[in-house]
Amino acid sequence: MKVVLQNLTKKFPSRNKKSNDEVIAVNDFNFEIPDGKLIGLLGPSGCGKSTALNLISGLIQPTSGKIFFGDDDVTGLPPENRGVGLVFQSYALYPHLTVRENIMFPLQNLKGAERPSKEEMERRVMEAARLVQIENLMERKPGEMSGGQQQRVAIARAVVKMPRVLLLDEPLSNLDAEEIRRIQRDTGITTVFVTHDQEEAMSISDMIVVMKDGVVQQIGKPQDVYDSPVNLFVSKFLGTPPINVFDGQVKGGKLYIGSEAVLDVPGAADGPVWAGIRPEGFILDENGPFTCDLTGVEVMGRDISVVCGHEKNAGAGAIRAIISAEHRPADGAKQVRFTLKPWKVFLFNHETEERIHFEVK
Amino acid sequence: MNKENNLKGWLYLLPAILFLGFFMVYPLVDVFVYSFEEGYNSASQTFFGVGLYNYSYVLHDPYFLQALKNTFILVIITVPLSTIIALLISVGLNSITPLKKLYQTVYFLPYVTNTLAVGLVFMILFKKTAYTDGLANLILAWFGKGPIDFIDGPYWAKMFVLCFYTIWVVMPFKVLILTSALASVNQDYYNAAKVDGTSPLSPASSGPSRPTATRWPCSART
Repeated sequence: MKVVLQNLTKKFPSRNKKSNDEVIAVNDFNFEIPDGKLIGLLGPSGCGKSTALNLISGLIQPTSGKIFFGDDDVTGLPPENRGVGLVFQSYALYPHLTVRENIMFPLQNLKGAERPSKEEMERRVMEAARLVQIENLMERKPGEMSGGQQQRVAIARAVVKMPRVLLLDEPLSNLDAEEIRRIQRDTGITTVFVTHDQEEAMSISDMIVVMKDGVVQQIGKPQDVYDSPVNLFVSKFLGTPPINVFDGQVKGGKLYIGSEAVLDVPGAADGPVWAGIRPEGFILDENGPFTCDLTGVEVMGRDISVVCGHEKNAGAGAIRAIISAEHRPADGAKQVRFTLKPWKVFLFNHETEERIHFEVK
Repeated sequence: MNKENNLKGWLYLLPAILFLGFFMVYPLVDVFVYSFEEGYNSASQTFFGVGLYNYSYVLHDPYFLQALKNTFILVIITVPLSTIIALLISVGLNSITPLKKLYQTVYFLPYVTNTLAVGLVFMILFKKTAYTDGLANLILAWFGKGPIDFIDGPYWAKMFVLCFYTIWVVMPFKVLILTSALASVNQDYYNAAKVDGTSPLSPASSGPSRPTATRWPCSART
């Protein structure tokens, strides 16, 4: 089932009663989620990703905008009539019911023709339990299980109704990302999950949505978003170790960091820029144009991480360059020189922090 | 280290232990001992002998037996009734948002009200004087029911007043306990129940309804 979000906006009244300011948790969210895909909503805490999830589930009503499941407008529908499965961060398993009863609970609440027979319920419960591999724990109470097992029960309870959309709130805390991927693939249910763990989200999602302050920054395939971030925030949010950011200058089609012209950037207008360089964008080169002060080398096995300082470093931490372990800076060297891979360098406007494109040769 | 900690712990407990020991444990034991002393004189602290006479006396005393019966009836009526009412009030308090704090305060007021003032109010309600039959009888009269003497009248009239008062007095404490129990239930449980399709008004016919399924078991811990 494809899910369409149209101009979805949610405002909350401000906590401060004296001012009439509103907190805009989700601002003008437009997104068409293709059928049967796994979508990761990510962003720092407080960015509105959980609110977006709750809007899709129907637990909160949007201030404006519409939500469609397939061709049905579900905006005004309460959660139980939307056909959503929701897995809470706290799992919210009913503590007095066994695993079997927990999973069966949504089926027992179906009414009329939708309500399956006893045998059918039993069959579907076992099917859901097998899907998440807990069929040997059916008579346990939630209190007697580990966090990971509880989370599996919560997922089984969410999928037993065969929901049109499955929603997961921070599912990666106790369960492997791969496991989520497998469950989603086996059921084929359109799935949206919320996480702050960008690494895991990128590894399993078909598409990711990066949010900040209630505003969607970028939507796309994980690799595309990583390779072509639209602004400084997205470039900084994705990638481990994080992207290196320098306070740079474009003059005559060349990028200057400090006094050195480190890269040809044809097509970029002159002016101050933020230059983001992915850690894997550095090539160790004795004759390279970019000089950094070497502070250390961290060995990681296959790769090494060259840790450097630079007066124009605008990032939070030290500069890190990831290079193959076959090359390493000379022992006792005070400085290292790099050549840059142009497709790993992104320029951003100094004020708006929007991406400035240049021709990569 | 451990021993030192133990000692410290006992030291912290000392005031409470002393207090409870003097005013609870010692009198309790003492009263138990007295109960076997026949012909005990509290002024001279003397007694004639040791035996079970006191017990035999009290168990043959019609007043004591009546008191026992009254207490039993009172407990049978008030405990379940006050708990059920308190539960309804707590769920109500938990469900409203505007004026929640105000109502919580109002329901707690009887707990901090002076007993004398309460007595006065109950007197106005039920006591028959030269001028009036009391507020309760006034209301009864609207429905054409005759005046009932709640204070010196029939047994069940008196019992009614007593039960009414007891329930009223214990209500705030029970509401307080139950409200905090309900408040400690994670909001996710309500949301989960909503997604699972329970309706707040659905009776127990189609499986447990939302309150029975989620609220009670979750709040039972407190």
